Amino acid sequence: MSLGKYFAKKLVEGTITVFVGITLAFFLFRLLPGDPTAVFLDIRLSPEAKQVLIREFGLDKPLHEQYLIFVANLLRGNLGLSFVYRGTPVSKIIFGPKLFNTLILMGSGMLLGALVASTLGLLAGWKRGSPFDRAITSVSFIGTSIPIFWVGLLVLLILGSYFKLIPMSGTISLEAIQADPLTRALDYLWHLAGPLLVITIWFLPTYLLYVRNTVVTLLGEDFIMVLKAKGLPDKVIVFKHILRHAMITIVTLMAVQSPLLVTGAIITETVFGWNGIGLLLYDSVLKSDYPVIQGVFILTIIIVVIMNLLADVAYAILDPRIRLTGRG
Amino acid sequence: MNYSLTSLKAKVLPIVLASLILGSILGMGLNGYLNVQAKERIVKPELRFELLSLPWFPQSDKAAEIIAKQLEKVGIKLEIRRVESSIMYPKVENFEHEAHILATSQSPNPMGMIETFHSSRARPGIGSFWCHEDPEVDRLIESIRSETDPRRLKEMLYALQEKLAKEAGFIPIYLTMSTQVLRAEWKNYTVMPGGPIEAYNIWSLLYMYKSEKPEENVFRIAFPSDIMTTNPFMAYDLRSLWVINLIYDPLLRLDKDLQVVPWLAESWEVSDDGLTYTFHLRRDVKWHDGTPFTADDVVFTFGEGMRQETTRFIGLKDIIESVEKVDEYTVRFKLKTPYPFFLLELATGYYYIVPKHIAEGVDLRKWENPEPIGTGPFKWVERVIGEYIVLVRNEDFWIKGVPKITKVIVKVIPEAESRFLAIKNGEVDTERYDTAVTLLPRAKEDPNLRVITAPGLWLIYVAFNTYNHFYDPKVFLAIHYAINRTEVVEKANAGYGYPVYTILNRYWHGEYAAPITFEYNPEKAKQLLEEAGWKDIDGDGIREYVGPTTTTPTPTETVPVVTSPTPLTPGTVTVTQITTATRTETITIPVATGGVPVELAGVLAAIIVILLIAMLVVMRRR
Repeated sequence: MSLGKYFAKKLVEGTITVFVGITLAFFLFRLLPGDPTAVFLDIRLSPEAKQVLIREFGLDKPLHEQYLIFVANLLRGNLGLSFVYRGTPVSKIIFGPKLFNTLILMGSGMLLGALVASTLGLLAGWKRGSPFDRAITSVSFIGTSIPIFWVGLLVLLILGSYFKLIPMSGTISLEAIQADPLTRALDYLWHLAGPLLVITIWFLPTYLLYVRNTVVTLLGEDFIMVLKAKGLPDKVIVFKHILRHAMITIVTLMAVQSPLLVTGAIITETVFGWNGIGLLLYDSVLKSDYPVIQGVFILTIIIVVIMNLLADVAYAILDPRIRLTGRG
Repeated sequence: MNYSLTSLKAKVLPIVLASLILGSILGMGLNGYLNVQAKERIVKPELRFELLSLPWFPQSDKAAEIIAKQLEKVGIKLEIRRVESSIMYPKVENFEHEAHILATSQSPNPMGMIETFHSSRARPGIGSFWCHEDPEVDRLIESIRSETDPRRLKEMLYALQEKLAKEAGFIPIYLTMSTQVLRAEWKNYTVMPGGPIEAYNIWSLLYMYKSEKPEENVFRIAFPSDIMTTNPFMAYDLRSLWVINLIYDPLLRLDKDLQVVPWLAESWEVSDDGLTYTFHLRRDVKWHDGTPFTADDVVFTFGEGMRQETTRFIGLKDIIESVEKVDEYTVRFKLKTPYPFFLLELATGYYYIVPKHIAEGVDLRKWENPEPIGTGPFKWVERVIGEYIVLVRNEDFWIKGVPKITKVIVKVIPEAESRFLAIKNGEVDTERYDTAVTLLPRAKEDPNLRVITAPGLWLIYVAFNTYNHFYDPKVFLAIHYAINRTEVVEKANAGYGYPVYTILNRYWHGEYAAPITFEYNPEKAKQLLEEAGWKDIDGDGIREYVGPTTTTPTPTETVPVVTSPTPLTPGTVTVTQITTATRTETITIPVATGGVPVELAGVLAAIIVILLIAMLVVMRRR
């Protein structure tokens, strides 16, 4: 199979996956109990007004008809109007400050996690069995096991409430609204500190354990033996040769986790009131805002499929055996 | 077929797990259908009700427990079941429940509450949370709707309230007390029912200030969640309406004594038959973009709002026949029938006048209105969805010298404790909606904070599903007597509330509220239940239906249930006998809703899915 043909095959598969995903996103949420017109305890709607809303949401039509309308609109690039933010297009809600906030939070968290993990993991793997290694490894195992919302609340309680180092909620303080850009940027960074710490703690242990294990495995490889035999000092071996291999592990892991950049971290964003996609998804599920939930899901599905497609193609280029057998 | 057991496990296990999850989800969705199709069983006919309650609304949820205890003493069992609103509301609306406790918001116009008892509302799925079916009540409501004589109107309102108090399965419990926590430096606010900053109360935001320096008068308010829309035609949540109220103006408003006062309409005349209302508009009003405000805007707003059937204006279609322009500053409304509450409705129904030159040709139901232009005291500046909204003072507002507030900032802070801390730290000045009673002691200790109380927005009630589950007026009357409302207010809301006995109350509806009270009297409640044929025959503390007893005479029927502190018009509300409704003969034995419970349905669906997948796997192997 030629590379072009292989790519075409993967593209068709990807398209089918996206379509199946979209269909699932449509039906799953409509099967859940809930009523988008039952909006909290506010002025209750009169029966006539409720009928207006139901017609407006298109909920008076049978499910299959709703689905066809949804697909037709989607093909025209129209994700529909939000039920909760009345009259506002879903695309405007997603592709705005919310997506930006999530990209910043998840991107910086992932990078920071990777940086710290590669340093600590490298040292731990190098000094395998030392008290340092044992401490780092056990902390990492604890880190992977504790629930993230608990970490978030703890950070809020200690840094926010006791020491008042970080703000309790949001992405901007009242004073900074309408202030000059520099003040706004600094205020934003100050608000970022809390959730960023939690997100870093979330990424860190997994990355760290991967790096450590890679280093430990590498240390037993023949080429390391050769380097040692050549009389290279340990520092050069570790920081020049092993580090590069370990980076590959990290980069692969980050590529796999890249959809998180867009979907955000539902729990962390909710705890810190970080106005991102994760918080949006949480709110929308609570309020049965189907169009927004679908929008976020479709975005996620498309990104996952694209990332997989890129990975498949990259592997096929690197390893011709894959495209020859057609098994990806 | 030679695959090892381990490989089978590795392949089947994830599938089983996945299908379990999928099955549970499907099962929950299917449950609605299963319930409907399940054959109804007739169970032991006893006074046992499943009471749905919202766990996150403490004013009603805590009241549920106290009421359940009180009713248990007279042999009525309420089993509280806490469910989220997205599950509870559809169940209640479709009359698929036994009873529920909840809150309904109050408005100065009594008609909103009254019309919920018209039998046309007794249909599942249209949005009624309770219902009542009685032709006499229907006739009363219809007469009230078009009565122009104030004395007779009041008489009929009293008669209706009394009838419903004794026959409807709707038991008012108490009106919440609004508890607004405001930074103490703010002066000159106006307290109205609903509190100093309720959506229809413009006065506080116009006259409130904290400093002589204008730039310091920035009013910052925390919202629990973002507003839903800036479209005045479609707004129905009190957060959106609060913001819209600052940007747009209605024709009329209410003053702090709930009397109608001129606003965009300077004066008005009503024809003798009560069918024509002529409004003279202010001539000095400009839209925020500088365009003058005229009669065209009023005609456009009402005409298109009704024609396009927007949520806020669709209700007016039953009242208004036509809206026409007489001249640039005069508008004439023709009504279908005389409507005694028309001015009150215009002042309280959130009918904001929208600029024709901007909204013309727009699909008003889908109108995004990202940068609202109104005539109101504040102008729109910016909004970040889910975070904040900024408004500034309209320097050209038609009342000179106000508002004193120069800037309004709305900040979304989802968590109640965080909102309170933000007020305490001086980060915001107050919050939308009441501060939770559990936080009030801390607010009262703080000299920088002021707790402002007023009659609240929420009427806490218990409603029974009289549509298809249970109807016995005598039991409802007994429940009225068996509930100690003062104790409920004390224990459920730390005393912040007012006992309410009828569908209208004097705090919101003034003299329209009938002076009916039910004193706490469990003995009388028991007696009423006995007479109605409810006796505990199996000794479990819950009364069973044994049929009415004819042996005991019923002297209690002459005991007055109407206690009138003021003398009433003769021949109207002096009914002292407990009249039983027309439906008592067809008393229905309580029937459990039955059906398959949610959990079982989920497991069943999961098993089916697993079997299907297993079959597929096996077939593929072969």
